[in-house]
Amino acid sequence: MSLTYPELESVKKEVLTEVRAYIDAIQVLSSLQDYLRGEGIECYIEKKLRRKVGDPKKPDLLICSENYVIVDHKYTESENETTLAGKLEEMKEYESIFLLGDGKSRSDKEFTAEVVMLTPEKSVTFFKRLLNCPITWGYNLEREIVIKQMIGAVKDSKISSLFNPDLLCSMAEEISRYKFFISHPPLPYAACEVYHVLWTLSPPNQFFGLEFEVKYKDILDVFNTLFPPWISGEAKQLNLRRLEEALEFLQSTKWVRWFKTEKLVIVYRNKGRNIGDLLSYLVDYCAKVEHAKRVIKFEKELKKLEQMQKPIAQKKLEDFA
Amino acid sequence: MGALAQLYFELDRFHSSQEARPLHVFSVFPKITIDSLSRFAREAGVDAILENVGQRVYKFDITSARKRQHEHGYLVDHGKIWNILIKTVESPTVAGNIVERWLERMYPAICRSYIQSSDLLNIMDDLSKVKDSKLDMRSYVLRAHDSHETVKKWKSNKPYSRGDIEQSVRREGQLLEAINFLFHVEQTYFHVRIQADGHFVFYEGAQYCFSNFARLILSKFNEMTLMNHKFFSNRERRVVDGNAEVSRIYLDPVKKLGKTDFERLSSHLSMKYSTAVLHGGNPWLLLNIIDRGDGSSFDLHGYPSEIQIIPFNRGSPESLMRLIHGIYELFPLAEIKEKMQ
Repeated sequence: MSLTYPELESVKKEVLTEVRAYIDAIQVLSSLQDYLRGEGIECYIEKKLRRKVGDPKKPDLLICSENYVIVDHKYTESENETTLAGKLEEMKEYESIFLLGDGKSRSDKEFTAEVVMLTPEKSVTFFKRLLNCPITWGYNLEREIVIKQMIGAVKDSKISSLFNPDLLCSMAEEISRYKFFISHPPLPYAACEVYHVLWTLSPPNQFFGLEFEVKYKDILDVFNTLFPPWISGEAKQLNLRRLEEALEFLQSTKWVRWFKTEKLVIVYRNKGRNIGDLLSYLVDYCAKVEHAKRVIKFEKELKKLEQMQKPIAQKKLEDFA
Repeated sequence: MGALAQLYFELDRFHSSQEARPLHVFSVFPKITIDSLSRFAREAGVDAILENVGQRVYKFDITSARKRQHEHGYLVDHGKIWNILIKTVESPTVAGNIVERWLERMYPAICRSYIQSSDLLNIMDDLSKVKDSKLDMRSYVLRAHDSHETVKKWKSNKPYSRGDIEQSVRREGQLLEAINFLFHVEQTYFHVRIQADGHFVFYEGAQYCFSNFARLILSKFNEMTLMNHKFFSNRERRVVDGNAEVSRIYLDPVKKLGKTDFERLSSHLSMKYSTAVLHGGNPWLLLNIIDRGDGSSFDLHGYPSEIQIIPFNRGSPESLMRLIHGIYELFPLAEIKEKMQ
């Protein structure tokens, strides 16, 4: 059994990556949906996809038109062509065709690509972890769709060649419509967004006080609008927990005070005023908290290990006398 | 004679006399009532004393926060806009700075008003068309966000040329902050410095000088800034039938923006606002902005050829105008893409 001391820098990196991946995820998912709607294609997210046979399953993103395009949440970690082909075969039981992968392995000769959901290359791994939804490919289609790309570029010639005239991708500004998406948002991100909400709820005619009060109900009302409408009621229940976690986290930074029983939040106007980048501060803060937890865990385990390795003192024969 | 006419008459007389001293004029948006001004000033850590001298005219004394410096003058209540007129007792620069700092403290109860540099030149264009008039340019002022202003002298007797100023702004890549000129019409004239942030310095003139300035420039400025105010109103994110609707404001930065520009923009805005960089990479910047003054919140998306501002649940027109002016300080040639109506 080997123990490694948790390094703060690597914890920070971990937290930051998770936050960035989430932002990428919202951007891609929401913008793609919006774009396709603009193209007259009906899109659903997190709705049940009925199988021809068997139980319904839940895709992360389901897009359908008359001829439908469906982008599913399934993916495989494997890049093995046979495994992928097997997955594809499996998918045929749905009224749609999927090809899922990481952009490297393709066995799509018989299909003409119509919709492609792209994420920045770096976020693919995290995307999988976060949303169970990597670069996901939906296929079938007889007509072309151009997805406008405003960020990055597609370098893979194989991918590019599927599109005519160009493969263009998601519109980043759609992230401004909905701040959260499916899956659990990283705490620094959620806290940052909730902090924004708190300020927008400051009393309109109270400009100069040291603090202001916001009712929890008002926060919740706004908070629920930050999720797309297709989020299920079940998921909305989870939102409450997310909001409370964010408020607890903000309270730990001393920017706000949350009176849970009174259902009231007090925001301190001058706290955090001189911080250049709030999100980066919250990421660091979260990493420090997480690091401290890991250090405690490490020390406990180390102690346990030391005890296990401690030689048992041999007793002399006379001790038993 | 009404109180306003009486005030202008006195200012005409004073500024055409030998004793004339510069008068600082500010065009501002109030979010409070006249009656509550003194109370809000105290809350902001400054002072304001008002005395009504006529229907919409008040004698006005202010005291700054730190050094407790006093300035006095008048406040004219035009309803949606107030004009603050401050007499210079000692140094004209000091007086202007004191009022600017006072206004900064009073934000968002009182908000500065802004027009675009191109609108500033539109005012000049209109003046140049006045019959039997002469625009005697003295200088114009350019400023980069992180440095002092550069005064560009105008050759004497050279006629006003919008093209020349625009060319210089483009060449220097700086914000056109002010224009200093004399305006002659018929038997009278006035000497003034006008700024895009609603701060005017009225130096001197002859008969009816201030009244002419108020009629030809101040009222024009007020009209333009009110139009901007209307344009930026009701831009908040709304939820209609469960769907979020947002309203974007597009700025065209003219030159292609890169990572360094986005970094400068983030750091520049973080001086005045609470910001969160959600994506600070290349070639896209996504910045969350909180105006701690009035609780307005915005998303800013920076692309190589476009800057988009998307107000969140609260996005007051005053805060939007201030934010956009802050962006102009960095990208002076940026223009709002939609036409203001």
